[in-house]
Amino acid sequence: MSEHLQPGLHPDADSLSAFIEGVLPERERLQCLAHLADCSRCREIVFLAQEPPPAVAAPKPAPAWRRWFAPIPALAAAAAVCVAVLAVSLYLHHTAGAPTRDVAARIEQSLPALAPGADNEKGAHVPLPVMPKAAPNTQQPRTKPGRARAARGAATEENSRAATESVDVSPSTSGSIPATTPAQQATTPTPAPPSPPPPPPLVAQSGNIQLQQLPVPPVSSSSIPPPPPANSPNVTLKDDQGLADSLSGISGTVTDASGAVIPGAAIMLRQLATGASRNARTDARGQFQLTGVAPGRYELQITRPGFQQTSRQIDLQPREIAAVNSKLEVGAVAESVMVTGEAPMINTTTSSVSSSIRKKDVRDLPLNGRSFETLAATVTGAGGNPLPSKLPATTTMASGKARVAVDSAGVLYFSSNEGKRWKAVKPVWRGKVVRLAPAEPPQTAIAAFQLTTDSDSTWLSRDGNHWFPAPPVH
Amino acid sequence: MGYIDWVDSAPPHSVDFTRPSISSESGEQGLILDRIQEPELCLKELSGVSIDEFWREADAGSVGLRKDELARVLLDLGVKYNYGLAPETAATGAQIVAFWQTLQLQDLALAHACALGRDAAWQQFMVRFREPLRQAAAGITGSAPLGRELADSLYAELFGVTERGEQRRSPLAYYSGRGSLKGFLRATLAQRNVDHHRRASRETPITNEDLPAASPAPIPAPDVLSRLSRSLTATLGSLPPDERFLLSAWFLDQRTLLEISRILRVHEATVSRRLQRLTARLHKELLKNMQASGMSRTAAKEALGTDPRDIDINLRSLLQASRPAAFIQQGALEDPEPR
Repeated sequence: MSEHLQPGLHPDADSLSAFIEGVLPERERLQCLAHLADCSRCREIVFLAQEPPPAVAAPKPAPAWRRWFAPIPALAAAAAVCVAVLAVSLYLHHTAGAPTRDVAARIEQSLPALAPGADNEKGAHVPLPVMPKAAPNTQQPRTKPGRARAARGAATEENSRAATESVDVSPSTSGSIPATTPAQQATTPTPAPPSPPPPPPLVAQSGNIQLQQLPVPPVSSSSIPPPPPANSPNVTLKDDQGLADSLSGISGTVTDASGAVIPGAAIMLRQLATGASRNARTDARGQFQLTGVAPGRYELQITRPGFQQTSRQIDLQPREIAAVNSKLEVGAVAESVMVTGEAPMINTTTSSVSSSIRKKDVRDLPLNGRSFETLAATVTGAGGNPLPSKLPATTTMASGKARVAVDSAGVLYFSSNEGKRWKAVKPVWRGKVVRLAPAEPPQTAIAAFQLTTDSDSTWLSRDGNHWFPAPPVH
Repeated sequence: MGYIDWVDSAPPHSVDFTRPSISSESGEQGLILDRIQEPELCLKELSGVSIDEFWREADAGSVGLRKDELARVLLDLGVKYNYGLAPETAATGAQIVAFWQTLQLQDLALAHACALGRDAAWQQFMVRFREPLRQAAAGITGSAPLGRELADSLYAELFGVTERGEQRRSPLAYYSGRGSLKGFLRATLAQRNVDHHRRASRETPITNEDLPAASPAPIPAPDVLSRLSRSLTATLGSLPPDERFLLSAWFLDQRTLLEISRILRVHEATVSRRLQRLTARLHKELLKNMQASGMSRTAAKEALGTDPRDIDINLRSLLQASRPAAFIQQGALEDPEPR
């Protein structure tokens, strides 16, 4: 033993190593422990001299009986796939008998996409409009299983009865979105439209939901330029179903006190929550339309020189087109010039938009699967352009899994997988496509889709990909 | 350090090696072995087993250790540790053989052959322990260059560079074979490293030392403090060694449960549970001791503080101030001076 830096006598390295390895007799071990309790030097040596702990213990081999159950997950997956294939084949077999009745042509003819970058300040945190929970949506809200089953059952029954021949029309900014969902049809029983289906434009009303096909171009939106190709919001969407399902619109007629229509009246629709506004003007018939508007509370201002300005507040529900007929009173001549030194609130350098989604919005919105991409689609101005041209689709039609869309440049696109991938249809016609619609009687027997070009020629297609000229109508 | 020369007058082969050994304060190492002329015979007489058996088992021939040298080492270890028995207990032949058989004979032969400077042993030593020693040194110092430096300095020391007179002195001569040679080398490395740091820490200027923050709580009266100190001393003094080690390692050294559990050879959960129980029991016993010294329960609680964690602070101050008890181990070999 020797006297070290710390006073006292200490166990030597041999005793410490034997202590660490646990080979000391109990009497010596206790002596060592008693010394270690008081001697920080020897404690430090002991802890330093320990072998480092083994990195990872080797996994124990599975018992033999477990190996018998190893293939069960694979078998279960295979069984699930078989059941799915069987169900699909049965469904196809069941529905193959009436091909013409399977044409559930759902048309979403929409305005060109908004140019929200012109309305919104870049980077401004635009609160997401909170949609009512009862709003119909393709994404299933959280419902009790029983209710969900009942809704699905009713929807299926309703669809089988009437939906195949009905034409759902919904305003949309950018997508192939059905205006009504099966769940909505179940909750708002709509009388089945008579067969054959009525030609567009269609107007169907059910409760507070007004569905109508909007003409192309639907409004004379003077202050809203069509979005340039580079106008891509900084939120990229793969599926804009949630957005299209929730958008609304406003239409109406502006007249004077005598009932005469007022053309050229300025319409300003301002969202109270965000301050975002959209402008339009009444056409020669005194009518205006604003579509692709996010649900929420708005202020509608109508001004026309020589008339008094009118203003009213509108509470837009999802997928509702509010009809607003305003009567302007003749006003006194007044002029005012307002000079302000404030910085412009509109970012004119870029057309991109950004917004932030609050936690409450995420919680309140009835989203299916809580996909953030679907959430992003609910932001005003955020929309995907799935078409290869990156232009907004003005009209989208669906038949089974096939989708046909026309972009704002008049180019026709076809998708065989529900809009996941699009390809341009090689035109057999001349000029641009100005109208895409379901085939009208009597062509419904031979075609599902019908398009009209700017040279006023009409073409038909059964599958959306192969087109032939429409036979002359006698 | 040596042993008393009660073998002076007796013939070497008739020494009663079963007698308990008594440590000496001033003797020199190897006194007994030096005076035994035929250690193989002594060993045979003691255990009834020939040295050949141990020699073969230790593979001592491959490291250049002769039979008589191995026999001397075994005899010396037996006397030193009293064959693994309690002091004042005479060992039987079977117990002697059992003790020698529990030793790491190959490591023991290698270490002592190296201490004697046999080339074959050193070649084998370098092959077996060069890289592990370097890795262990790097792990202990936390740095590869420092570890290499530490390992190299230990090599020189192990080789017996430091000599007393004409005798080579290597730390390997103090290896007993109870643990593994690798563990012995690790402990030696750790010892040298700790001593080096402790020596260097004396040169740390006082301005760099962290001074303890002043306690926000009001300082108790001196008589309360003295009672508290006495109570703590009595309570801690009554604890068994393993519990005191547990408290020191956990509260003073801030060791992890895993580290403590590996030293105590129990599970981490056991260490945690023991700590919890120990802290609670200490709190109770401290209260009891302070009440026994004449304080009321309320005053004792106030002195301790209602928070049991205050005991940690008291333990720390008490244990830090205490001097480590001398390691009184019968026959323990003298540890070489730290370099």
